[in-house]
Amino acid sequence: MNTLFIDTHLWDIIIVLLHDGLVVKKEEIKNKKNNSEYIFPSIVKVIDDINLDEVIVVNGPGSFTGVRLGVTIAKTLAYTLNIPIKTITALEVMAISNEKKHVAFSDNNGYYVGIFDNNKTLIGDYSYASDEVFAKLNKDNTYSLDYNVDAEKIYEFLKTREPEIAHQVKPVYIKKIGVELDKKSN
Amino acid sequence: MKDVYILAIETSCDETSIAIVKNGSEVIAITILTQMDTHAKFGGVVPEIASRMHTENITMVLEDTLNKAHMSVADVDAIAVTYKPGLLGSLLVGIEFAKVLSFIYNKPLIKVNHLIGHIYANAINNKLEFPLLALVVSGGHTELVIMKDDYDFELLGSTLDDAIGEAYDKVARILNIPYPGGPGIEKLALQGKPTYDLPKPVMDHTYNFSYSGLKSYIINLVHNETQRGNEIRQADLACSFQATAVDELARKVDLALKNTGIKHIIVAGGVSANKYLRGEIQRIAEENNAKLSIPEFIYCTDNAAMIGAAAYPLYLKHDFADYSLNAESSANIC
Repeated sequence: MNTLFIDTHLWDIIIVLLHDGLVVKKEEIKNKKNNSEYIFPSIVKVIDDINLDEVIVVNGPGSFTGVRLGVTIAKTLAYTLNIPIKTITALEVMAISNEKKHVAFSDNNGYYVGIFDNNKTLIGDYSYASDEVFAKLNKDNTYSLDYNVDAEKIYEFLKTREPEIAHQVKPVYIKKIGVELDKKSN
Repeated sequence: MKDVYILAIETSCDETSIAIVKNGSEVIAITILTQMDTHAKFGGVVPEIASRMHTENITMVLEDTLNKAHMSVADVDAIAVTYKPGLLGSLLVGIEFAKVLSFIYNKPLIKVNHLIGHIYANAINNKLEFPLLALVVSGGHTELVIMKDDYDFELLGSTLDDAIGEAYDKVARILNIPYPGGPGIEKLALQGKPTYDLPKPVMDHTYNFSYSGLKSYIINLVHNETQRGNEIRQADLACSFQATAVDELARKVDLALKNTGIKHIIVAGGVSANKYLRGEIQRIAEENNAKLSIPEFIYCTDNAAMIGAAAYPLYLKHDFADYSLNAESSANIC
């Protein structure tokens, strides 16, 4: 069972190949904002001469373009190969990999925030907080802020999650864009 | 020679389109999913929304095209994709999608310039006879180009400021015509007469164009008349604008045909869907005994078939791209 894990939700590219849930190959490129040049070549390095059985993609939130490229590649792989695809959010990745209930990460403009229970189930909704608002939320330093990916733990966690239909896989953006904010104020 | 089938992808703006084109001229199947209704609510294309919709829809657009063609991706010879110019986020969705297809099915990847795609829309169900004169008219470009052979271009002239499509959109906005403005002006102009005396854009002997002066004149005219409490005869103004803008194109095309002796003129780009423009260029072509090619309406606006047509000469030259292909927001023909 070969599983491809794709995470391009922010500035880093993390591509992992798992065999029966154990990591066998990993490609990691740090801080490549202009990542279209690097994402697919990194994936090819990992899956060349492999028969893929499953795709896992981090579907956001984060950089809109980064998330979109990862999701586009993942759903196209799943659709063309006719294999299962599962999605996981970047905040779930943190909750699982860091084994923390309060997790958050910054995109340099603010913080994406998630709160989970003991079973790694999201409590309430994800939110996007300005630096000031987040500073208040985190006044007791309860939040885990380091982004780590433990692909094996993620694989285990997703074992019970149903695959999605490739056509219907889409990114989770959370943060509002200009026209959405304008509509609200009208 | 063996038939060549190219699967082409176009996502440079607000249309998600995939086509399968045979030998650069025969469209086996095409799907064009337009987002126009969504963007109309905002008065223009919202780039982030356009990109999001491409990601949501692109695999379904592929499935639709393959079903229409009764083909699999395995049956084609190459994957072609628009990589410039356009909205970066939108282009990137098509590019990454194309890379996956190219890799999974082991087909060469061909990168296509969208503007050259518009020119090759004229190769669909038609034969390009070189040398030819190409008039490219769109929201971003107004150019007159000599094409001596496939991918052999020489620029004669271009706009010094706004593109003609941009001028249409801006005048539409002044006249409160909803997005997309070009077809709205064309429709309104049919009900009017060219009674407004507007300044002629560039009355010189170059092949250059200029539309910002005409646009500014109309903005001032509407502003002044409104201030004085005078009514604007909207249909007459739309008609006058269209006549002035298109006459300028026709005059320069006439000049180029006479000076170069070229006997084949093609029109390309979104504004080539404009019926008044088609009629005027037809008249000039006839006066000069030149053959005129204008794409069928469906291939005038953004579509993947033209990308497949433009990819064909590149396929024959083995001009292939690798997986580091990136998008570029701006581009020229030559």
